[in-house]
Amino acid sequence: MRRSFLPIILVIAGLAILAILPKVLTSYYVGLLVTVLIFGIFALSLDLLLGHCGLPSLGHAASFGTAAYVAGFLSLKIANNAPVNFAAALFAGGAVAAIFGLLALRTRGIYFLMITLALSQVLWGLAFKWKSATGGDDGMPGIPRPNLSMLGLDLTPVNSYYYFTLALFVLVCILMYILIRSPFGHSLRGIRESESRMLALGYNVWAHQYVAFIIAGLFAALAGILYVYYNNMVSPKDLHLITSAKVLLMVILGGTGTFLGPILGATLIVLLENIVSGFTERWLLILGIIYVLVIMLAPKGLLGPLRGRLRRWIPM
Amino acid sequence: MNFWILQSLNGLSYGMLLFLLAAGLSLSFGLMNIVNLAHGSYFLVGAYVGLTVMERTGNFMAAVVVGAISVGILGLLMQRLLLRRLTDHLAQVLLTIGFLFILGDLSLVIWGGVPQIIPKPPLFEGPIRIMESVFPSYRLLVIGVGIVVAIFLWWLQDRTAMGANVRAAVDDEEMAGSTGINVALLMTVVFGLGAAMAALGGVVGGAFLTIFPGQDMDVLLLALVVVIIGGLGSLKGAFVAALLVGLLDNFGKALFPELALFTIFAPMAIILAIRPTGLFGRA
Amino acid sequence: MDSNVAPLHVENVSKNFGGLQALLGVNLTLQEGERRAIIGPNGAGKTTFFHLISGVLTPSSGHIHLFGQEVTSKPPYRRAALGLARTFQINNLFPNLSVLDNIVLSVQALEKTKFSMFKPMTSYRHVYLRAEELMEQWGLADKGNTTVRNLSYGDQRELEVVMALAQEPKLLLLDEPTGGLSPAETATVTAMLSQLPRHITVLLIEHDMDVAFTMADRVTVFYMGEVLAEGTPQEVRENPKVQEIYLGSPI
Repeated sequence: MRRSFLPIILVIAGLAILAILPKVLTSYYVGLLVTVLIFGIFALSLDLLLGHCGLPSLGHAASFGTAAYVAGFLSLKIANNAPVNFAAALFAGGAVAAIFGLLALRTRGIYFLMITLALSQVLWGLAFKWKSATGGDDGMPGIPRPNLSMLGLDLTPVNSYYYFTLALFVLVCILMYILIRSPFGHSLRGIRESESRMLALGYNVWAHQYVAFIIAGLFAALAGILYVYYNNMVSPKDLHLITSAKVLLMVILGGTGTFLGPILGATLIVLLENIVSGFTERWLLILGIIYVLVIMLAPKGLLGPLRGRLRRWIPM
Repeated sequence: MNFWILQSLNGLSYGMLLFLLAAGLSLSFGLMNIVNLAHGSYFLVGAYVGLTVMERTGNFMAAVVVGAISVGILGLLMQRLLLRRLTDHLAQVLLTIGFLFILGDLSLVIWGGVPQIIPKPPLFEGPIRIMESVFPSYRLLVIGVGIVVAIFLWWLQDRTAMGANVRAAVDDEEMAGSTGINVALLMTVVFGLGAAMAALGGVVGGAFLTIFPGQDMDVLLLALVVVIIGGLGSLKGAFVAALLVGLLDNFGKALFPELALFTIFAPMAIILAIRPTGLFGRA
Repeated sequence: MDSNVAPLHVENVSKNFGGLQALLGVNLTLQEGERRAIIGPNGAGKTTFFHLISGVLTPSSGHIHLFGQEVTSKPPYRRAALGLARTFQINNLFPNLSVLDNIVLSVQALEKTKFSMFKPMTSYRHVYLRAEELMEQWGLADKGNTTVRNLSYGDQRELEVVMALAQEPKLLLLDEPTGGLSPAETATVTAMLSQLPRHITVLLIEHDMDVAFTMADRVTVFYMGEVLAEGTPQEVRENPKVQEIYLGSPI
């Protein structure tokens, strides 16, 4: 089989551009890029569930927001020890997925949607009401970015934080790429296509879905941690349905199971949110209209029609 | 007055509101297989419309009727023009999330961000004395309305031709269609009825809860929990679960204000672990 | 003792759904290498019986043993690990994956590495070689890259069988493998099935009497959830009760 070098060239070119951009952009736009990369990770993590397992989670903000809160809480109220806080927050995000997965994976389809939504909204309610721990509606402002002085790495300047985020973004892409090409990834797509056949073939369907649910939770948690440190604050909206629904839209807009699609979707929505917020306060209204338009005009996503062609590059 | 009696009364009246809200959500799923996340918006928009009518006319009945009918029509249109074409659950969810955001933000533009309250009908403003105890009469009215609506729905479903048709359509849409029932029209009507009931809940509730932006999502969560616990498509389930959630939520808020939602999370988790399809849901 | 090592030993199994009695006190034992056909009118409980053996459903009462092991309430994937494979009456494939990927997933089910997350699937060459070998045998070699959704019905029906065979089963359950096929396709599938090695025990639900009676060593007749008759094709054909059910249709 003749393998095309085009994708490799494109990836290298893309990375080169991403590496150079901070040299030519103002810090405002570098910050915007950080947000794009973070939501790219978040959207990729949801697509592992939606695109590869066929599990439409409407509560994916649960892991994202929990990790953000844990990282923020520890940094502000316990000790600003970034590596430990990072690990603890990642663990917390994964643990939320592990607990919610136990409940949600007992159901399918419409129930799965509703239950993931309800469970994550309960966490939102907790963050909103438990003022003494979470700061309530105001959230927790003033969370400092990590300063890894022993490594001589201060992530406080936005450019340093950008490269830090970019490195993790690339790492997530590589891990995700390896995962979806592995036997495990193939099994997930088999389960997406027919659970009963996979059971008959001898696959423990539940175990596969549960592991995937936790992995997706961990990647979402990573995005949440990057997000809280970047914004220096966390608030209940990071756990809210609006956040879960936004990342779902990113995946659908780009095209599920296309790898590039969720990243593209994240880029478009983050940029659009930024532009729209610049001249009107009606972002939620515009976002609502985008939902309706996407479903009516491009239900398979922007890259959906290219799925066959993409599959040559990214076997899935 | 005794804390427990008063809180139980508050919980029950809140539960009745949740029933008004969840009945439509549950039916639209049971009958049409539609997941409607804009259902909480019907509650909020209904409450705001009721507020405006009350301010203009001072007539509470008019507020209830106009609120319910206008939102009922909104529901009819949404189902007829958009939702009906979507068979995929995920597409329905995204579309209705879109409407949740649109309706929520438009309400914010029209009615502002300050929490508001609909004046109670004068007859039910004060407390009422029964035996030695004093009860807030409006809460009793709400409970009464909930019971009347529940009986009406039961009558509609079990004792009328329309109800028989609905049940036939739930069991087997194709067969119901072949016996001459206009299933598509029936679905639109039931969907509109569900929206109108949610709006009724909004107006009635707007007189003892405050109305505020974001309430659409708060009540949506509670309605979802009710439907999850009660079982999709079951009116009986919606009724029982609504009262349960209403009581739990109310006592939770009163006793553990910081952990309020956890008091409904626990029963939901237990139900899910034992019966993933809910108390009265079909497996 | 003998029945303890039988590939399949079903003991007094009943299944009811709510009020509906789908199966009542069914007993059935297969000897190693046997070809057994189950026939019976629609609604006799044949497919329910398959669901109970493969673990999709759990019996209301009774016991099921596979290769001497009690599996009555074990999940399907544990039964598959014992050497059970099945096909489905209604095609149950992976419609959006390629033919090759469908078969690869079947072959991979046997592998201990199926949980591996770090090496690409394509690095497991022997899995692909085995899948290609099966496609070659079944005349699907030129369709490896075709998405299953776009495959003809006949080819999908064949793939249904190939996927079960890819599991290298010791006991194979076939649910109407020739259902909906043209006479020519039926002949091809029947010929392929007749050539299966004798170490595979086969239990077959079949509507087509010719296929059932040619392939089977013994035939079991289900009627209204119960076993009405069991014996060699000749015995069953001459059984007056069976003739009564199939009155009017050639047997």
